[in-house]
Amino acid sequence: MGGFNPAPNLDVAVLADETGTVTYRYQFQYAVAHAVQADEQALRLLNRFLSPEQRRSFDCADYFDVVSQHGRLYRLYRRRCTGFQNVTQLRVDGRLPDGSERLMRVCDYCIHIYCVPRAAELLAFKLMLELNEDLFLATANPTHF
Amino acid sequence: METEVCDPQPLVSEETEGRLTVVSGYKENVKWDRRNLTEVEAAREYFERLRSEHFLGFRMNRDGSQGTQLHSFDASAEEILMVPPSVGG
Repeated sequence: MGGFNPAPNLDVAVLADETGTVTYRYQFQYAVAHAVQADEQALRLLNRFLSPEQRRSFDCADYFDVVSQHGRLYRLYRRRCTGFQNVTQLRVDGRLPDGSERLMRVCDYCIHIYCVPRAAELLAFKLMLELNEDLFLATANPTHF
Repeated sequence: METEVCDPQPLVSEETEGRLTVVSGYKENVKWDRRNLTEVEAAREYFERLRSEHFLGFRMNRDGSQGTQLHSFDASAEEILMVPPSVGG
């Protein structure tokens, strides 16, 4: 069976004896179901490795902050971007009138892991930043401010 | 009365158990018993296979302390997370 395969990385061999459109439809449904399952699994895994503060921030504001191996502050966003702002480096620049920290954007990093759920990507970046920041910096494409 | 503790994914369920988790929804995860050489070897082989596909291995600690990057399989690890290769955009 040649041509377009909507789920190249998924095992759909069980449906390979079906024909034409029917096969594609089932492949698509299979792929969607598999993707939803993968998303849930990745989110559970991410939640296991977030601190309570990071989890709260991720739930409420769709991002969490990570202090890296070398003590830098990074912000990781839930949304998946095709451009920049995938990961942002911040620095504390004084305090706001309400006493909270005033954060300034230092640099945006564009880095991706293809074909994995967003939560898996976020956990991967968190691990890289905390345990091998040099590799993260060597891989990511920076935009400085 | 018996109380059941529901934790869907405890970090480590036994002292002798290790776990290799792939940070991706699409790959198989494996567990091994440190006393069982066959399971250890199977896990080592899986680790090496993922490493050859440029996955990064990180050893995580049960107590929540900072993990470390692994360059070779460590059967004494409580949990190993395998991270798929990333690319700059």
